[in-house]
Amino acid sequence: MSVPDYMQCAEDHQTLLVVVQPVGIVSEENFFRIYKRISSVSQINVRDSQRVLYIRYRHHYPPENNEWGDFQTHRKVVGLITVTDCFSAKDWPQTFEKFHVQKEIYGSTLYDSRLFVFGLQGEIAEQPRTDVAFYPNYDDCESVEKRIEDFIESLFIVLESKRLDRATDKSGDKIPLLCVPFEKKDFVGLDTDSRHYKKRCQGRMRKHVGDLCLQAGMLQDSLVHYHMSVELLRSVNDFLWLGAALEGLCSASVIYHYPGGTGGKTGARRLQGSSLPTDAGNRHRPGAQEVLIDPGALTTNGINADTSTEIGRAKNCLSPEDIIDKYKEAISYYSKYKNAGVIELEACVKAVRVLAIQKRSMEASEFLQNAVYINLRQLSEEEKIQRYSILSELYELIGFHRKSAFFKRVAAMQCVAPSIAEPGWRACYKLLLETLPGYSLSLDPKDFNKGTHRGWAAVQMRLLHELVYASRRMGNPALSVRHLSFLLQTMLDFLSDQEKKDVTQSLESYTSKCPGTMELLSLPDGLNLPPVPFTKLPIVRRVKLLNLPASLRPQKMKSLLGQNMSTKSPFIYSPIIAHNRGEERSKKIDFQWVQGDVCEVQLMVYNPMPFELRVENMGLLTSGVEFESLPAALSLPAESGLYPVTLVGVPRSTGQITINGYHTTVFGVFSDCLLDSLPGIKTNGSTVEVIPALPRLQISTSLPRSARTLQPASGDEISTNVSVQLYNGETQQLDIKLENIGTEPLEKLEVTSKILTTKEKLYGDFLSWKLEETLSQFPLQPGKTATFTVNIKVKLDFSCQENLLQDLNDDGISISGLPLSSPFRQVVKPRVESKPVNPPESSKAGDFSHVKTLEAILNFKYSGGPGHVDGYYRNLSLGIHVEAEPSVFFTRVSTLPATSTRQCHLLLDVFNSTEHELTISAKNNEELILHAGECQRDF
Amino acid sequence: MSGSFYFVIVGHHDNPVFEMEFLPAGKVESKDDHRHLNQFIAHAALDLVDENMWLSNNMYLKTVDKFNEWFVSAFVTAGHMRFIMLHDVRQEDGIKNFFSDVYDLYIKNWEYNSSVKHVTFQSQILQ
Repeated sequence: MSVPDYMQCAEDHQTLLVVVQPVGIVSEENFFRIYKRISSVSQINVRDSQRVLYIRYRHHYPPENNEWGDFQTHRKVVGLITVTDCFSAKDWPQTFEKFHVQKEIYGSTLYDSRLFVFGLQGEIAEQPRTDVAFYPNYDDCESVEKRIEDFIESLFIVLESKRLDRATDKSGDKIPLLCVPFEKKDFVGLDTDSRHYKKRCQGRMRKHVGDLCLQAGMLQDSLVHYHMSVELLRSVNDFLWLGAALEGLCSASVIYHYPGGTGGKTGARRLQGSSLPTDAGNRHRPGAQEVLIDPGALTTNGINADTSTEIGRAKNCLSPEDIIDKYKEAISYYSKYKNAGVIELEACVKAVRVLAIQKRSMEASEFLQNAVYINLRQLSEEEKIQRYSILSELYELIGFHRKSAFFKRVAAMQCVAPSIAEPGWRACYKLLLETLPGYSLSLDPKDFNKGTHRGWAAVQMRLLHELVYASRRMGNPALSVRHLSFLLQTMLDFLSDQEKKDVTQSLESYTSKCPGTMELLSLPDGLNLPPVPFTKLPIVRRVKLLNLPASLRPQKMKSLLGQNMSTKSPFIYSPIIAHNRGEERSKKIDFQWVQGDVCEVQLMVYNPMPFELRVENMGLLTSGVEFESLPAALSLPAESGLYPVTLVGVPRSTGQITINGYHTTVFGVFSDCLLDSLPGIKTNGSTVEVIPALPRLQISTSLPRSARTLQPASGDEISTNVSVQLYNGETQQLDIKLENIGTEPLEKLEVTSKILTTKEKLYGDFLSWKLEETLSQFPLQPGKTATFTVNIKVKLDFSCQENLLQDLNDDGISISGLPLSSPFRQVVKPRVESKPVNPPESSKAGDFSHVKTLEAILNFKYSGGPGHVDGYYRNLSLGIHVEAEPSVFFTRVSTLPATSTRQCHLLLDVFNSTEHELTISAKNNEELILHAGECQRDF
Repeated sequence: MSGSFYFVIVGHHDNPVFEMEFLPAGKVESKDDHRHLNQFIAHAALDLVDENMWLSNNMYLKTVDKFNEWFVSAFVTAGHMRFIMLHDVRQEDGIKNFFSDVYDLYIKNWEYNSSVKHVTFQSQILQ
């Protein structure tokens, strides 16, 4: 016997083996349809007794295994069912002949056989025959199951008669020596009359009867016979058969102890089917019942009928521990015979299944270890694969997942061994996939985000490489790309620099033919490969949503804000609402984006690779709002530090926009990286409100832009600055060109000015304008411009300047409170060239002290389009920086006594520091003098 | 030492924290494939190590597994760090002594479950 049945379990010892085979040309599909129906009849309650018959069906069974049928009767083919197609009466004799030929193969052991003929109708089909059943076609054969039941009953009758026949053999009769195929030649010429020989014959026969009893559903009897047999065979050192007797004892005990079965799935099915009989069996075992009915069979062999009592049963049946000991013993006997390798191997497998149920994995692993080294003969590659697979399955059964994975991988490697002409890459791949759990690997990259790395990275990487290779050889590049991406993503920390290069190079070569996607890859056997986003290429550390630049920031009109508040809640303040808002804030950001305007998100990224990383097509993934992402391409230097990347896009509708993540293309693999799944990322929130579109205003002025930026008092930023130099009293007209560069009409404009805090005392309006003219051009359509004129008038107090007072001190008279003069400018001309003119005139170092600065901000509040409807406006600020210089200097002040002693003349030397003609006019000359006199008197 | 040896310390998540190969004097470099095989065998043996450690009071578990020409001996520390030795010759005493020597070193300069690239550790082991 050379072909082991790795699926064997102890329960199989009580089954009857029936082979179902097609004869002639029967389509596989039809055959297996019938086979399935036949094999559903796997147990039968024999009429008039509580015994149960179990049937094991095979559609293929090597005849040389059949030759071991005397050794263990469950190996004997006792029934044959042939299935055939026959469409005309003409073919019938031929078909029937084939059936006979088929019967010959197992002829020596068959109890009975059946032929199922499909397609034949007419005269022949109407003859009632027991051994042949005719069916018109494969769909119309309801009675198949019934036929099988009848067939099994007929098998039972033969079995029962054989059992009784053997069991009642008088001890005086000559008992034939049963033997296994390889023993036959050893016994030629042996003395058949010796006691030794007789004992041997008895022992073997006893064991055989035990087998038959077990098959016939008489468990108790079989135990008794096995015990007897063990004693007999032990005394004559017939080790092979002793082993078989011991194994029989084990099988019977296992069946007794574990009615649920040890054979995994089949066992479970059996349990369902047999739940009723086993329940009954708990009260009175079928075997025991039978012994009571037919005690004579035993007593004639000199065995006490007492064995059927409860005490006897407990004695005969092995305890769970004993089962294992006896299995060990049996296996050690088997191992003495090279030709019994298959028996030994199968016994190991059976013992492991029992131990798995007993949860004794250490001992089970010993049996398996032994099984690994049983040398059958030169195994074919296919058998090797089968063997390693079953080892793996058994290790899995006892909970040794790593060991199981090891053998499964060996099996996978065997599938593609160089000696195989047609390597089975598909099978290899499938087996490799099954090993993954044993190596703590899953194919979902999400599992690798949780804390520390599990498993042996080097081994895992090797396995992934093997998967990549196998899938490539299978001709499925998408799988290769997926596995390679997975390797790169999850094992990045363990790859050496050289390996990183190698992996990315091969990934690029794969993706050049088959780009990596974000789709779930489904394998034919139902397994799904989740997508692998490259969240580590580059690594993103921080995500920050950026506010719009100040000039584009939308602002809510105050009154409307109030309304909104009141609609939300009837209360002015509620702690609950306040609390909720606080929570929202954790995710929501307190600025808004505007529909149609480019908005930015800043990522801080770094490249963990030892070479330059090219990231293409990097853009934002958003939800909630229609969003036009404007992808960027970047190139990060090798092992860069944190590197800011700004991703931009334009919201095309309004509402709450959530930045879910970003997408990239790296090494030809598309990735959608979601922020939620990124570990250790810092973000300032990811949800922003997008408000309806607003117009955009751009201003340009007639004055030169200033490099100086104003320091605004209240946080608002200035978008443009202009500066101008003016002489005191001068008025400058500032033409501001307003251009609507947005896409919405500009409907509303409000202009306010704010003079930044200054110590100077200002006379009159610094800035004055007439808005009406500008507003008449409104609404301002996109692309249109309007002008707006602002008058800048400088009227400052330049008195009390030290150099003047010094002059006055000469005469011992102090004068203060000089009103500034009001120069009139005849010519309006840029002041730039006039500037260097005045400094040489003043001797003191602080010549700039008479330049005074005025700063003001001109605010343009504007709105329009849908944003205006929602109550938003934008604010644009223009900073105005004015440097004012005095237009006249009083270089000398002196007094002259006047005619009256109460008056004096004040003499002022006036210097015109401008290049222009100017007129000094006092409002009323006389009054001025008078006032001056009064001043002097005051001091 | 006549045979080939492969020694590895395995952490709590089946992660190797220290690996080393000892080859007989004649053999120069082991093939890469060979190294992988060692790792696979050692990984598979962990099942047996984990079972065996509960059956013994000793830290040294003797030979727990074998595959083809390789024997797998193991040693489990109180902190459940597993020392695994693959060897192709039976040499129980030598391996036992080696394990206890390594354990001494291990106790002195190891951090919890960390993989440390101990050049010094390595050189100390070699001595």
